[in-house]
Amino acid sequence: MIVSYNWLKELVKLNVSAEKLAEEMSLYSVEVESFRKLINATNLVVGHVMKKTKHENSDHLNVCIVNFGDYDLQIVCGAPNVEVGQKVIVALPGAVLPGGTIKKSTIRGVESNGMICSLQELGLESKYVPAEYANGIYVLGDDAKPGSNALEYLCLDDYVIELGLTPNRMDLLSMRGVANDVKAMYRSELLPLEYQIHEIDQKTSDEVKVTLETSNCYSYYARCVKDVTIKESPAFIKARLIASGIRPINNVVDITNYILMLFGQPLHSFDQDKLGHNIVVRRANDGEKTVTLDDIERTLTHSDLVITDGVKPVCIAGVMGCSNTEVTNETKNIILESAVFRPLSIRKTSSRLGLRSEASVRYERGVDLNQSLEAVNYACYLLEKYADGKVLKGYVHQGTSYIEDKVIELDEQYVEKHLGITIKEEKMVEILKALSFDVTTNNHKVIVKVPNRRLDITIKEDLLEEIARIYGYDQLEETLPAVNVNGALTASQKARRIIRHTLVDLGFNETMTYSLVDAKKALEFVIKENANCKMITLSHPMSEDHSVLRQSLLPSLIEVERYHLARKMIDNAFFEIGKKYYQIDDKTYEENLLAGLISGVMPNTLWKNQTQTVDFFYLKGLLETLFRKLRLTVKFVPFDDAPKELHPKRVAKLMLDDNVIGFIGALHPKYIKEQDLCECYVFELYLDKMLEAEKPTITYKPISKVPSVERDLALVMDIKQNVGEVIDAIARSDQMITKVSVFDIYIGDKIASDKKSVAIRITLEANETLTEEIITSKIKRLLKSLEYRFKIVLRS
Amino acid sequence: MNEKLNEILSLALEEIKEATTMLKLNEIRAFYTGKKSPLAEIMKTLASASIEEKKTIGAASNKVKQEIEKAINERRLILEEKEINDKLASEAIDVTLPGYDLKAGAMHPLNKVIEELEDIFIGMGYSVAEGPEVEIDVFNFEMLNVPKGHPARDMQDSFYIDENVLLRTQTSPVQVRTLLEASGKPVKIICPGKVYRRDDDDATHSHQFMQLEGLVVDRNITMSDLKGTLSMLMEKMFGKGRQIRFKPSYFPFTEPSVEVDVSCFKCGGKGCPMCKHTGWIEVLGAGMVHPNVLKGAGYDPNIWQGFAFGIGIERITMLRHNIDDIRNFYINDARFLKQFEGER
Repeated sequence: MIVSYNWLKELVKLNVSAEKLAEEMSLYSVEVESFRKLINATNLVVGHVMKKTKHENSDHLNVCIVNFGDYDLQIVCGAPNVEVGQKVIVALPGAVLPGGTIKKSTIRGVESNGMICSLQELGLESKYVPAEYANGIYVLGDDAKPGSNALEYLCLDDYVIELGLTPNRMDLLSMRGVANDVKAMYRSELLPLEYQIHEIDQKTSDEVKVTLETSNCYSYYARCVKDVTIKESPAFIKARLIASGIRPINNVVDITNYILMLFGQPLHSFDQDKLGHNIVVRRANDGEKTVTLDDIERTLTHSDLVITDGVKPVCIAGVMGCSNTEVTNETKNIILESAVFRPLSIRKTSSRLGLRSEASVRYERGVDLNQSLEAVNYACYLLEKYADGKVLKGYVHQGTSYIEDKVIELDEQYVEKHLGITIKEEKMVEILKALSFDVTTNNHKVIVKVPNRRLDITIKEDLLEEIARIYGYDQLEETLPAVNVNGALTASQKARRIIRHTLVDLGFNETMTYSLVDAKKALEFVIKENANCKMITLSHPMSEDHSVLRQSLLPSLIEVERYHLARKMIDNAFFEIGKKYYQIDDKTYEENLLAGLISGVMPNTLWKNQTQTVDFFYLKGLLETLFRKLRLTVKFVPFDDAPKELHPKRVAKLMLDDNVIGFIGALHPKYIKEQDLCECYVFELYLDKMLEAEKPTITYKPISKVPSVERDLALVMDIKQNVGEVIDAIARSDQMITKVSVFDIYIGDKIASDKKSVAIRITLEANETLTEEIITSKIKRLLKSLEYRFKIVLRS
Repeated sequence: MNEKLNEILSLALEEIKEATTMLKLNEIRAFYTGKKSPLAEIMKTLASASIEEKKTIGAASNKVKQEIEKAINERRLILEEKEINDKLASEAIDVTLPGYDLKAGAMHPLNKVIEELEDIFIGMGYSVAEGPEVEIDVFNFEMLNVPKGHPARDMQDSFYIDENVLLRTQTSPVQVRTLLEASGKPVKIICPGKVYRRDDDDATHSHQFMQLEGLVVDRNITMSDLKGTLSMLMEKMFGKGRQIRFKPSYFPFTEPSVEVDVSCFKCGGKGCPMCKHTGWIEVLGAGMVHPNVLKGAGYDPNIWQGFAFGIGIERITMLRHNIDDIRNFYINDARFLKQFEGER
């Protein structure tokens, strides 16, 4: 809704500047999206062209003598349509136009004291410029007074305030509604519309009959105006439509639009000679066709409302008229419709047809049928005055003609309890009256009658808002709620923070990628255990790239990796915590995932030329650090049926007790080639499963007073033996063994070709000094059991 | 004899003074204090001397020996000091060379802001609630007072899975879920999370973005409480002295509803390009929980009341850090992410 400041001033007594009004409306009424001068040009005066001679050095320029009342100036003009006798808009030297400042100048040897302007040169969008002036200067009416302010003459000396309308405030979709709110803001008063119609004896009811065949039309008024002259509208109507963002067309169309802006009541005008005498409002038949005013054939459905002549549609109700009854330059007799339809019905039709008009926007939000009659009456008055029309006596109406006020009660206590400040009863009454509500009080109750024009107010909370905003939100106190609850993160939320912070500390950058992905990507990195999870697909995606919800974060991380590789950034470490989404038997599920990816050189190895690329064990080490933080004992187990995107020989599943909680591995070389990647190591963890179990509090273990002892053993075992199992077995074999680490692996000619030698360091700890004897006997026992379980021997 | 002793002493002192290494000094010590030292030789020649003579010469010789040892010790301290200094000098490093690249990563700026907000609110006694992103229409719209056909659905065209299931367009359904779960007890939560709307991705729109919802419901929660809460939040987010103001607005699930402006943290309210010369920046929407929402969740609006607010995480992050394109958050360029490695 765009509000003309000048127009507003005719509807409500107003003593504030346009700028101040714009600022205060956003604090007390509704959001103001923009505020500007309608025409950003200065020093424009009316000139009278007295003389025109051809420019001696040009075949398209004319030298004009222009009169400004008590003086004349010579002005060179290039417009093809300049003629002697015209009243024109002149930008005098010093005038600032959107295109620059006008200066006294010499054009091809001839002095020029200003510029005769087109409307576009004033900054008006060309859609508002009448066709005949599209390529030349604008010609003013004969009544324009030379030397006077041209913008004032055009009624374009105005400010416009654009309101960002919220869906509830349908009342602000009209100038009268805005005036009413402004009146409340400043405790001002409304200025009445003064008009009188000179009806002729012929009756509207003899000319037109209205039948409603559907309850989706709440109210329908028709009036008839005969013998209209189609012509240009007066300047003030055109200017106000331009200020409102509506293109002036001709007087009849402009007047209906003027009423729409003034009352918020859409009007439709039919050419009566094309329409006939019968109006029937009904639902459209499925497949029924009609051509709308924009010359497009529309196919209707049963949910659409149509106005018909008893047979064929003549208007898609509330949305757009049909060309078969269009008002044209030849039109003489007019039927005016002032109707109200069911909002939902109009909304459905306009969105299905992709037709949103000033009318449909209002109908969708609700139009006050209590003022439909006044709107059409005022239109008749304007048609009489500006289209020479003869207004027929009376009107025809079907449907509801009046909706009673709603009665809502509230009191001081209620307002205080919700706002936290006291507003005295008298003050409340004063505010509500300023809003033009009927207010009475009875035994500390404030009884408010809310008129139908405020369709948005239905409960006392709505009135609370009215009181609060007009009273001023700046009057609220700043207090804090007193609620007896405590706040803390849940265990899972805490764990996710630990994960995030640990991985960041370990060198990973955290990413945030889209949950909606390509359907192909959604199937990648899904492990067999989750094969029964169906992916969730959007019913109407905006693009293929974002059509299904992901089941793994890795495809997105790989996308991020590819982005970096393309920019020559190859040493990368990324992770993300996000959800996977899936469906089992039509039920949807969401689980938290953690995924990561590393590539390139390990951090901390570039200096001194000791670069070393990341590998499986680097990533595994990082994860083990994370698991220690989370106090989880996770096993890395060979993964036989790993997702096909992973290297089958460099992949492990991660086991927490008997649950698979994720995997770690290298990307499959084939996948790397396909996706144009480099060697990458990735992991994905199913966080909810992983963080499920509650962990006991850490219990302190006394620290040994004697130093620990280390023993190195070179163990020869089968080349295929998993070392992890052996380490595990050693660690579990004796309570005194507190640490088992591997420091070398040898495969080569010095041992049998089907064997490997693994150098292991064992740390032993006890509360008293371990004698050589004890150690030796422990090692002996250990070796014996290793030999028995794994056929491992000590390397000689 | 005394002359001889003095000669030995001055010779020894001379040598000690000239010794430049510990090795040399040790040699000198061995020569002058050992069994074959000149002093020992002198003592040997005394075998035939009288007891009296032996006494005086012995004493003199001892004194010389002590003086030599004292000189050696003094010299040793000097040489040791020098040795350490030489070693230190040889160990000089260029401290301006870069440190080893230990590469800590960076948290995503959106999560960073969310954690910051969570901490502020936890400090005020709030819990952090979570809810599904694949939501049913009933929770996303209907129980938030947005029935089918309501014009407010216009504001947020949605991604539907089927007729009744969609990607949540706001974090507000968590309000409904939390109230239903709390079933009649006071509630004080925030809910950060991802939301989705049918928008083409450009510099200011994203089909996926993050919100943080707040909800407080009890018997006496007022709009002044809302203002105090948001005022404190804005001071913590945008610095001391920030002020807020409410402007009338509309959300289906709150009544009254307000837009909240914070005084411009760049110009302090004087007016600058950041605040479009108004001195104020719009940061969030809020209001008193609509009675229909309370009723729907089993709270009698005649007894219970509360406030709710919703913050666009991208928006405040962009404002605070002067980020001009929302897509930066979802491209994840390491050069962008690393800028947020440090605090604030």
